[in-house]
Amino acid sequence: MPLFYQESVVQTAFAEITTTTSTTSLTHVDLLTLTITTGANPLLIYVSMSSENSAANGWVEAQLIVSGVVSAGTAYHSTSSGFGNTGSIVWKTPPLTAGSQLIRLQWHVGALIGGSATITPSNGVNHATLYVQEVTV
Amino acid sequence: MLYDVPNIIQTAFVNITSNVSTTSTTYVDLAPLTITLTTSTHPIEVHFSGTVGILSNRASVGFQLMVDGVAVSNGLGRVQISGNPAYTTSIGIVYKSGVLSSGSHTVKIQWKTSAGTASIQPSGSSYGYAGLLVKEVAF
Repeated sequence: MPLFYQESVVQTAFAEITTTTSTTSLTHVDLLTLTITTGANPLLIYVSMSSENSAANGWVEAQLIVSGVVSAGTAYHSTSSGFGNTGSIVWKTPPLTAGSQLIRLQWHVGALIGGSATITPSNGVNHATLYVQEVTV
Repeated sequence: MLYDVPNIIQTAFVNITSNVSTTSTTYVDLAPLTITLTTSTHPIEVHFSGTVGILSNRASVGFQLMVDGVAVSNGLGRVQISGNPAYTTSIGIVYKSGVLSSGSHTVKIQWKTSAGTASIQPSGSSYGYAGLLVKEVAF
């Protein structure tokens, strides 16, 4: 039976941390951003990240913002000074209004412990990635 | 004759929208995270992500992905922290099935804790979160 596969992924976009990136902020600041122009379609969004915290028991909070709407988040502790941990998010938006969309991954360290959170991609352990698919289904 | 088939046939997504918790030490349904979909003879891709708080030091929380009643993948997050009231850990699972039979299929997440109370609390925070995405794909 001949099949013709119709493309239901309209476009994809990807961003990642490629150089050592740190924060001591106690409130959300941008970590990764993507701007894409879409039709009136939903987005599938995937976030994966890991970082190390300078403070024992310190933690990282991260949140995903899609065109100004806080959509989802993650948080993870470092058990000891210099230890790392991981966070991830999967998300599907409702169909968006056609036009320019700003997708932001923000992060900060937990206020109670503080410390400095660092992503060091060159050590082969830490990373942060943001992957977006515009889909028609 | 050509048959026009999208490479992603359908997607379904659910996420936790109100606080949930468990003290069960054996797997129980994380009730909001269940998706039932009717597919043709195609595989499915499943993506799960969750951030959970545990009110017990050195405790662990397990998540298990079930497809049609069969455990197909799992993940375990452990906290080993003292002196902090907000113990959190994050789990992600990615899975692709073989070709399923045509018909109705149920995908769900179960969870358990080794000690204390595990909770996912989206109310009042941006990071208390769990989401389940299922795609029926052509290949």
